Amino acid sequence: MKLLLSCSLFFFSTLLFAEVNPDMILKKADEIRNPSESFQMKVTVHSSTEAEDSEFDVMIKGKNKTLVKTLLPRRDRGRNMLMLDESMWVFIPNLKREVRISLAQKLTGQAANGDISRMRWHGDYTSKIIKENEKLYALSLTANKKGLTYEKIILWVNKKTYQPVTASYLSLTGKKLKEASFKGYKEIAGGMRPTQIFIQDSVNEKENSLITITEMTSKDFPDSYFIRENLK
Amino acid sequence: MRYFLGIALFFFSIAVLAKDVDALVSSEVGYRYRYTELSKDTQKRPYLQSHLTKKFGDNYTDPIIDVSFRASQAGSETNTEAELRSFLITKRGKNYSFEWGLQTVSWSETFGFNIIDLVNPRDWSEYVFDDLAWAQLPVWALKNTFSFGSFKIQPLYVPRARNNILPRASSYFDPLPEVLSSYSRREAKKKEFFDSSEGGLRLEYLFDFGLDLSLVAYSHYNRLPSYSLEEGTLVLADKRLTSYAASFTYSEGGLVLRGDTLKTLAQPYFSTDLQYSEKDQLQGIYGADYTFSNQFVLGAQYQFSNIHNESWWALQAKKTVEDFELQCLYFQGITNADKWFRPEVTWRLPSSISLRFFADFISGKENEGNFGTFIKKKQYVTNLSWLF
Repeated sequence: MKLLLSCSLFFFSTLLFAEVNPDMILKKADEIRNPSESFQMKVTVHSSTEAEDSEFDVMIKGKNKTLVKTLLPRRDRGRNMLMLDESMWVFIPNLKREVRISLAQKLTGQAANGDISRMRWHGDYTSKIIKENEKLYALSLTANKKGLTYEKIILWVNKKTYQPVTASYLSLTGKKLKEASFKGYKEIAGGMRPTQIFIQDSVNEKENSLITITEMTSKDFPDSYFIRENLK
Repeated sequence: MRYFLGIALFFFSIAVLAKDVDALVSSEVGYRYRYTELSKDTQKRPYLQSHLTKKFGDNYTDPIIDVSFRASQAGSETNTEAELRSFLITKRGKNYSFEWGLQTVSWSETFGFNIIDLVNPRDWSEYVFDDLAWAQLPVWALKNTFSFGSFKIQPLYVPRARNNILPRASSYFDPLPEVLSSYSRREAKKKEFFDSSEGGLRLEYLFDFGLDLSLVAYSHYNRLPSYSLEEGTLVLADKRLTSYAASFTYSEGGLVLRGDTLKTLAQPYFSTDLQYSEKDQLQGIYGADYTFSNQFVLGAQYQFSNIHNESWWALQAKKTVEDFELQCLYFQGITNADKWFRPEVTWRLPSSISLRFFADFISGKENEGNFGTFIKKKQYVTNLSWLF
């Protein structure tokens, strides 16, 4: 009986003190949003502040190479973007040249360039569980490199499925800039993934953007695809 | 007007037809109105440009053809221009990308003067500064890019060089002072294939910490309009030159640093006493811009040239307020009296209609800086365009 009690105590104590690994949660949440190492998706962005919707063809390879081709609105066609690590270039059709920009620059509406070009948090952020309830973990993500779109993120992840639910994007001082909700979970590219990201500006209630993923397929791209010459 | 309409219709038909042959087509119809003070000159230029991209297959290795046309009418019916702006075949492989054909190439990283854009000559007849879509003259070139991880090597060959288009004597944009306007001018000879080729090499490396560094060596004909006076005739310096350049960009957070340095050996130029001279020219532009959290972008640049040991500084600001893109550039000489102020507003209307207005306020002092011949001149440009 003593042995049984000791074993039970040991078992419960390990359960009690077993640390849930925030790094693993973040990695799993990334796998929900990204179907594979290399993939292509078509994205539309509807913004409360823009008269016309935007449409982008996004090609992603790993966590550090992304090529974004602007399809709509027509006047922005050709304003394509390339991201290599934390470096980003945009092609300006008027000037006929590529210009280096920061990841924090606005894509359209409330969506920053990094919102669609940099879809993985793991490796970019140090994570820590700061709260949890019955259904969700709250992770505090702090950027571990410079030049990222957001310095700090509070991310709520579903405990069972690791599906990201909401993310609050904060400044370095902790001021809330925007809040993103991951919605429209459906079967796409071989898994249940969010097909909508609703981004609400925290200062101006009227300003928001809805990013909708309309197509997503796993596809391999060569490195030669991700060069500035391909921005034209 | 008939000529313009005819050509515009022709290109429009191509664009419409191309939509049925599985090609990506974008076209722009616009109307450009320019008024220049002092000469009281107005220029009304309706234009149409079409760009067609046709990809032959779904694989990344399948070739792509890009064709761009522009038809415009400048001034009078007889001055209708129809121009092929690009005709380019792109072929990509695992670690290479070949772009062969009529094209423009931009290597500069800074704004305003684009000193490292050596490949294409310019249309100086309108002196449009950074309006490269209008000023750069396309050339037939073989551009090849080989990628090895973060390292890129780009040999480029232009089998037949093309001359600058220079402004008419005494015209608004004529860079020569009034005192020389009465002399006849001998322009550059038309270049022949292979005998007058241009070419060079560009190396680029993106460091892990975000520094993007490029080095360029390029052999080209003189791009800076400069004349020597020979037996009562001004003869354009049309000699082959060699240039070496280095450029960089670096980004951290909202901050982007950028710089261009160019050294051109034995660059012909006019001395301050209007004598033809040659000198190894060293020029550089270095700057930074910062994107604030409200998307306000503020940039500053420092520029120098050792030709007359001159330097300048510039500020640029950008902000989008609802449907309006506001932009402003201020450029001033440090060692000279140059001043250039360009406010710019683009109104983004629904259905891809844009109305862009900018004005150039330029002033300078004779025989100084870049604007010595632009004393107290102004120009206003309005551009209405519809993209479809």
